[in-house]
Amino acid sequence: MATSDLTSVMAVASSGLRAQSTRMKVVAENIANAATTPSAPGEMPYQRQVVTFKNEFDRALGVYEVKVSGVEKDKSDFIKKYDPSHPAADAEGYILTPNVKPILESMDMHEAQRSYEANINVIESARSMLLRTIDLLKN
Amino acid sequence: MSMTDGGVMGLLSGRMSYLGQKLAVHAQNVANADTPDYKAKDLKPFAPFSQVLKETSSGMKVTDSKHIVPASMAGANADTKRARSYETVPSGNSVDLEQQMIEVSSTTLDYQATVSVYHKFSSFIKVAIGK
Repeated sequence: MATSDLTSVMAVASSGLRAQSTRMKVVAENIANAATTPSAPGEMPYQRQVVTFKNEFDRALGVYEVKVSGVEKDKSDFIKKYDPSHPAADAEGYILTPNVKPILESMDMHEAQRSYEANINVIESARSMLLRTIDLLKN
Repeated sequence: MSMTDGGVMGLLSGRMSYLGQKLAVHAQNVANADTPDYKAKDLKPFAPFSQVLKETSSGMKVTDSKHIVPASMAGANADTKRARSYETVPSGNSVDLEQQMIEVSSTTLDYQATVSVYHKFSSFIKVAIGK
């Protein structure tokens, strides 16, 4: 039936919105913590997080929704900087800074934004189709 | 020709439910636009017009619920197929958002056109019953 198809459109698109906003949250955490350095030698700085998605079949609606499968740590190396005055500097005067690359985060943020807008667009389409159908009853 | 069952009304409501399904498929594609190994899907084209002609003229016709319905007459429940896509990214995802946006807006326009025809046709019926 058309109406149940249109409501499943809303469910799928809102699962997309949820997934993209989780991704945006992780990007925000990364950017906010881009300069979170340790306070004593031997401690680890903030480790960048990466969000991963998976495709999940919703049996009730019969559609493939998107789910966040996990938020994992980025395995790349920390960036080493020479700063002997820093409280966390080791014997040679180096500190470990987070493995967050601002350009990468900004690209990821734009991609999340673009996907979010695309999902909104789908919801608006489904909404206008539903409204047109309801209008049939009016006159 | 009957005005309600199988005729113009049937064709229009079949088309509306087909377009609803098509939008659901595109919603899946857009939601999974960043899911690794997801392949974009699409519905097979809507083709019951030839069936309507077949049913109203000669040829095979289902007159009893025990009859076997041939695949070409199975109604608006169209099968999904893998869509042709412009690109596949290294993660194995083949959803192209621009392409999906075009599909979504054309589906909406088609739906609105179908609703307009439905509305027109119901006003014909109103004329016929004198309202």
